[in-house]
Amino acid sequence: MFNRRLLLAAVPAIAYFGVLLLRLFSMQVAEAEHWREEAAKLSKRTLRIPARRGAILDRSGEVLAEDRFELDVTVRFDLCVEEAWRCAACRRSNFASPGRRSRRCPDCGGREFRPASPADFAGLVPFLPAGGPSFEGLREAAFAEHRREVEEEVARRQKLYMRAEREDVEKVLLRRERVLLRSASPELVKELSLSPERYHGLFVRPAFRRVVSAGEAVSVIVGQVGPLSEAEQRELGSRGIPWSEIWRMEVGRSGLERGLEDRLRCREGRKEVERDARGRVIEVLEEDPPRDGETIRSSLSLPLQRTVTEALRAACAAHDAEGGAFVALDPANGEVLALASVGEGIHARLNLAVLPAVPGSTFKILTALAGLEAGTIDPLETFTCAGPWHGIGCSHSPGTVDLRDAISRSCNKYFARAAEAMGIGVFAPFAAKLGFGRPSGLLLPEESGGLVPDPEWKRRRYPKDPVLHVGELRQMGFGGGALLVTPVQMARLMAVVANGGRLVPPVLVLGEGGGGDRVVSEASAARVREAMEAVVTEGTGRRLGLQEFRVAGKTGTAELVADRQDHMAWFAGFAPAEAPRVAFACYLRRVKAHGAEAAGPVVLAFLREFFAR
Amino acid sequence: MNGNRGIHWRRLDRKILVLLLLFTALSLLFLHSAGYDSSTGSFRPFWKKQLGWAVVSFLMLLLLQRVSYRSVLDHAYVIYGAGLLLLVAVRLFGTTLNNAKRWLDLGFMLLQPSEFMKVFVVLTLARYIRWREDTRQLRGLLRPFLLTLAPMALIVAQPDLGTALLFIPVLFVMLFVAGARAHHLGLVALMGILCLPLLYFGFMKDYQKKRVLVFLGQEQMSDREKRNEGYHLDRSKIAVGSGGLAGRGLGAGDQRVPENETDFIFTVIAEEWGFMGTVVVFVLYMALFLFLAAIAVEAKDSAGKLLVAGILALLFVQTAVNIGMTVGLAPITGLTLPFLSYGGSSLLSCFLCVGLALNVRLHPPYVFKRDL
Repeated sequence: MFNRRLLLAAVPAIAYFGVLLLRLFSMQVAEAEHWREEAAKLSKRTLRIPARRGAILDRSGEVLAEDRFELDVTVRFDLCVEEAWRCAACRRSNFASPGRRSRRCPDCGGREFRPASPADFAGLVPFLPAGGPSFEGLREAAFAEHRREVEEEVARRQKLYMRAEREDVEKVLLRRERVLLRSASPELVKELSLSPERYHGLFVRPAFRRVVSAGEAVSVIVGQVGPLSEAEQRELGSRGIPWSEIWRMEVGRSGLERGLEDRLRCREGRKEVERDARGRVIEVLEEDPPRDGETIRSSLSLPLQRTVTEALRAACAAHDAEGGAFVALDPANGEVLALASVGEGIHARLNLAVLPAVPGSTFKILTALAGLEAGTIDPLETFTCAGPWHGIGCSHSPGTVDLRDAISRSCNKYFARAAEAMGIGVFAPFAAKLGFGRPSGLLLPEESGGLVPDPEWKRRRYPKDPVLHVGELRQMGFGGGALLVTPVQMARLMAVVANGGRLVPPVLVLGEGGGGDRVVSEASAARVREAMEAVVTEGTGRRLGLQEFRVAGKTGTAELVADRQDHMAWFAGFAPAEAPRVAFACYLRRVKAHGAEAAGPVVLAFLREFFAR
Repeated sequence: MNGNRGIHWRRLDRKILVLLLLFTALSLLFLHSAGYDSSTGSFRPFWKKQLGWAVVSFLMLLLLQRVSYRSVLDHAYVIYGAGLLLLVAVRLFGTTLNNAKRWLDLGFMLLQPSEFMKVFVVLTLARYIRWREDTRQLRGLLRPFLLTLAPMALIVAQPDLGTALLFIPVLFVMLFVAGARAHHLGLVALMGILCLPLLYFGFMKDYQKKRVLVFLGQEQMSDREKRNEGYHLDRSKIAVGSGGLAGRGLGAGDQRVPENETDFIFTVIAEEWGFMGTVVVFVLYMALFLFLAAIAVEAKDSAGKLLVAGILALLFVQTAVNIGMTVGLAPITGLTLPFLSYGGSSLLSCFLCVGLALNVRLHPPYVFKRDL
């Protein structure tokens, strides 16, 4: 009875086992491919491969700015604050949910558990950078970022009428890795990687970080990198760049970093991998290698840049100026050799070399060239300067001057008359032809175009007084009035004289300079050059000690209307006079001294360094 | 009664002991794998604790052989009563995990009395039915049912429907083997099925109802629910299916079903060893059940036969339901896989089951005049 019944009962059992085995066979053998794909979807991870943004070098290959490899410590709050429970005795996280508190710690047998707290990370404290924020502070800062993102996300969802429950949003955002500490020391990284269980929730992540290694001397011109604005993010997003990358992306925000962005930009690589439960990579499914940015050799010379910056700083201090700028370029091809800007307060962050200033007497060079080209100036014709004329005075002793003397002694009335003689119809277009009134195309986003007033401008700007008066034209003739010029434009004007009449486009990238187009006849340029030599040998610049380098130049002192005590002190020129190798412009803002005296030492320091090499 | 006189230790079934060692090795191997979790990057050393439990269980099994199953059966009602008391104690002082009050905190372990109650009920039923003839009558089935329903009610209240429902097939198999008429059992089953709506509307929680409906194909899950309710099944199917023929290699699996160390340990084996591993597991279980059935067939007394039959039913149903649920052939219940799942109570109770079966073979049977 028993045995028969037992066998009878075994029949359905064996049948069920058979069905079960068949089912397993069909899943694991027949449908294996399908389930394999499903599994791949779940265990697929995308690993980021950081890429290096292009470096910016000086003309001899020295690094101005580069991406430096660093290790960051990141934190995932869901793992180390909110949900992870730790053994109270050995402090290792055992990842038990709160409900399982009555279990024993697998490592030390402790029975007490509590949520992770900053005290668990006490082992890291000795390795934190001295003098920096405490661990608590770092954590707080990272958590503040989390809170801010939660607020933003909730607000965004509300705006779109989406479900915006704070708890849901928090839960998702808690999983995001946040940077706790940038550029961790090797000791800290070692401590973290030796006992990962202990510091569960903290990770070491590689990152490239932008460093301006050449320091202050180039910081303004190199500029800064920073995260994208929302509009830029959308623009890149529409180009198909993954959002995960866009969020992290840093682009040039100012200076060369911005101007050369397209060439410097790198594209992060990614690797689609399948990992097992231990996190080991089993298979690489797809690989998109990182693309580093292009390394760009700029035309700047770091030693010159340093010398000039230092000299400018000294000059600013000596004359109590609020800032100053210096630009030097190769008159043959327009390559910028040095472009420096220093300043106090707000001017410290501005690049004064590409921002406008009142040019003062240096602009007489343009008036002279314009007159010679238009034929309204006869270089040999003399003019007797004595006493004010239409309210225009001169600082030189009274006497008779021709063009050479007018430039070397900086006669205001001569050029006021010259401008009046040619008329605004000749003067303004000629200034525009020589690059005034518009940006020179240096790839610096901050660059301004300056201003050359013309009747059209006057009409627009002053509707109540829409006529450009002859008085204003006279002022412009010797660099006054509403004229605004950037030091780069001024240096380029000097290059035109220096190279015999060609307008070279200033460039900051080595090898991209060009010969430029002829804008002034060689004869006119020669005549002005001769006069500029006289400025240094016998004129307003004779006391600057520039004779040793055979400089040809022009001083300038623009009085500020608001405060006659302060001047814009200019000195622009080129050297050596007979075969110019460098053209430059230097100016200091709001100095008490006459132009040449303030700007002279900077030029001298520059030329010493330039010719020493 | 008659102590150890007449024991022939050679009769200890060594094939089964070897099988148990193989089971233990397999269990430790895959509990080691199951300890890894890439989402948190952590490792939980399940295998170490399980090794400890395996050693304890093995010793208990051997210790059990010194006492005859007859004296165990003689005390079956006492043991049954103690089991009921433990279940009541759980009700009163139990520890709550995952919304269920199933455990007693003994300090060194969390004891799950319902795991042992399964064995106790088999013992009690074997004791009660052993030489009764009234199982042939409908009325005679009443008391065995009452004996089973009492602990069931306590376990359902924990709640632990899966374990509770396990008692039903065990009871039916034992009654059937004892000689109950099939149409009587059919009648009782029919009555039980008629009572199901009562269970459904009276006791089940919403999530349990949903599971039943989904299992019966009466209801589809929304995407959201799929993520929550069907999540286990989906993940478990993917893990099993993706193992393929040969598996992904020991320790190379990545599909982690929650609770894969306890209820879903089969998914880890199936993923890492593939269909080959499945076959290994099936062969081990078939061999075990075959050897146990042989003991039942060879047993000289009805009590021994009933006891081994009940144990066989208990282990088989657990195995069948556990593996079935990983591929969607059985509803997902909290049943462990005998000998392989992580957990001290479960492992010990399974070893005790096998120990009792070995005991039946080892010790001389009851001798009664009537049998002579």
